[in-house]
Amino acid sequence: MRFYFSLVAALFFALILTEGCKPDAPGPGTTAYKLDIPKGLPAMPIPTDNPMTEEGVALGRKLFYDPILSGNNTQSCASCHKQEFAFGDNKALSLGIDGLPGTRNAMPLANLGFQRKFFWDGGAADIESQAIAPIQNPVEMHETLPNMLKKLNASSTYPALFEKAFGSATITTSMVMRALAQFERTLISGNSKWDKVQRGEASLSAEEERGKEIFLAEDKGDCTHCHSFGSTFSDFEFRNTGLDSIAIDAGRFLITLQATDSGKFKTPTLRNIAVTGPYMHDGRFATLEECVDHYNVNFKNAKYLDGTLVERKKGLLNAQEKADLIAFLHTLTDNEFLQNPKFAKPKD
Amino acid sequence: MKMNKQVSYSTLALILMVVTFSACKKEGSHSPYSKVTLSFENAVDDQAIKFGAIDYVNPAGNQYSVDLLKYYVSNFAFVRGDDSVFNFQRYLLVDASDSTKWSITLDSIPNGAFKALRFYVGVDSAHNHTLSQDGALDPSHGMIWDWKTGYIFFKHEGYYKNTAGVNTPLTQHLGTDNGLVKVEIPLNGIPLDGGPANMHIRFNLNDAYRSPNKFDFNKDGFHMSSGVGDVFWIKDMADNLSRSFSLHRID
Ligand code: HEC
Ligand code: HEC
Repeated sequence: MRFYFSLVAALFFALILTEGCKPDAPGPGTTAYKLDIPKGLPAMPIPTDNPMTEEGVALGRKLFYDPILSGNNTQSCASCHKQEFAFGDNKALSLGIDGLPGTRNAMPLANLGFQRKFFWDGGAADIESQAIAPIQNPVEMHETLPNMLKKLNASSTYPALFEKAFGSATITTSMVMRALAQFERTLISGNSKWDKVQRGEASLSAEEERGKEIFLAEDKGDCTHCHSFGSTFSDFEFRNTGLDSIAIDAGRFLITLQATDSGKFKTPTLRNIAVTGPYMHDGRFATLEECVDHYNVNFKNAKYLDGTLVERKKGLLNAQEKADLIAFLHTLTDNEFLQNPKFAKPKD
Repeated sequence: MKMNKQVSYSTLALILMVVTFSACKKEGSHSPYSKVTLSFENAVDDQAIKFGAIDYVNPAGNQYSVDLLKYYVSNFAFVRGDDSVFNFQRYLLVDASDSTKWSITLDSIPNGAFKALRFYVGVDSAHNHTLSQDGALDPSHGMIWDWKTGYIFFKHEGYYKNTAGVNTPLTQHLGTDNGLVKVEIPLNGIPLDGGPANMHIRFNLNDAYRSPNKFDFNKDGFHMSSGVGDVFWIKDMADNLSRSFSLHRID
């Protein structure tokens, strides 16, 4: 009896004394944020320790556009993630605050909430954790987290906004991460022409229709094998697509340290693909034509080349078929997303 | 037999009385629970750590300095003589340059004679795959990577003299789930009797480079748990670290 009592007591104390625990949920008096998910997209899992609130999303949006998060207060997340390019960048490699280029192409930010791993190599395990990487990266925003917190805590506006969203005016790193993640989860794209066709509100042209069939056909494009046809246009798995015979960037290997992951990168979504060039993890292709040519003839026989490409014959698509495929890809552009005022830089 | 049993009952009663009596003698020790402070004290063999000077020699004979030494210790457990285990899921980030960051107090450990103290160097995988955490695991303590989610469990930075005698940057960053280090320190029946106790744990940095894997910095001076050359090093370094902690004294 006594023993059990001690054990229970010990467990109880161990529980209440847990440090480094998950932070508390939202502040009192917040309003739950209702996500607007267009028909055809799946439900979005929301982490229990970061429920969406109106206050949190508004704060995250302000932070996303505020250069206060960078070392010399000149660069915000939006400097490399621009709404007109589906929150990607139109440069192959973006420059950080010191004018230095990174090694990878800035990724578009749409439908992040349906994904499980972030970055080209999946190095970030959740949206919250991703947010501090660019802030600290020397070739990006080049700021230290302690200094970022000092600036935010000293500002005349932020402590009150954090208090509204998270119930405490003393700003912590985790609150910044959670606010940015809440805003990023609202960046949902599901109103392209293709979506409207699904809903019976529009129809594909003959060319687009042929392109769709090529996208799906195993003996033609077979794009759907990885960029799964349907709601998210990717299964988000990591693959080597033979861009180089010997990978220059080790990709997923850098995270897992598994040899078989060399040169593997996350399969990106093809939503809004017409506006998110340059393409691939290093921005090597300027146009969709070059991307299609890659799959049609140019992919190389890398050691860990994905099995479907190992088996693929070269030159399956003629010029007309390539044009049709590209016409279909253009139907994935969602102008409402690119112009939605709720995602734009907040006025104040 | 019967006789014997009776004797043993009365012996037991006697022992109990003595224990109770002696427990009552000490001031403030009526509690059936003890409070233990673990203090992590850092050294290089028998030298105290002085920062910035190339004053130390590792087991492979390389001269080196300590400019930064930080590590996580976590998930402490006390194993009592009767094999019951008392767990504390807590995290301490030890910074060798700041004596206010060396200790952690674990309260309400049921009294008894203890066999062992267990803890980990690093962060368990349940807490190693998100950075949205507070306290010791707040990512602003400089113990995370920029490019992948996870904590750096152990960080030693400084310089070493390479074979040509040139001062060369030394970087030892251990992390990833495979690099979690399990440490068990025998307590050989040390009694906890309701009073506070301070256990001074000694971390010998040279032990991290000694055995079973003797590291030569000319070959192993740069590791960030992120490259081809780190796969085996992570395991080897974790092995060494598991033998680098000892109980120095209790007061
Ligand atoms: C200097 C340009 C730059 C800045 C500033 C920048 N990013 Fe990025 N972002 C990138 C690049 C490049 C990548 C791809 C990096 C990689 O895969 O290694 C990326 C990737 C991402 C991703 C991963 C998307 C996915 O699909 O996996 C997210 C999310 C993201 N950034 C959010 C942010 C946020 C939030 C901020 C501000 C705190 C920010 N970025 C600031 C360039 C930038
Ligand atoms: C074997 C899986 C696979 C198949 C099949 C595949 N892709 Fe990809 N796709 C990927 C991966 C992985 C990437 C990212 C590669 C990289 O950057 O290293 C990618 C990148 C792209 C990009 C660039 C995206 C961006 O944001 O930069 C485009 C465009 C693209 N694919 C179109 C297609 C088309 C069109 C087809 C069919 C002809 C196709 N893909 C077939 C896996 C695949």
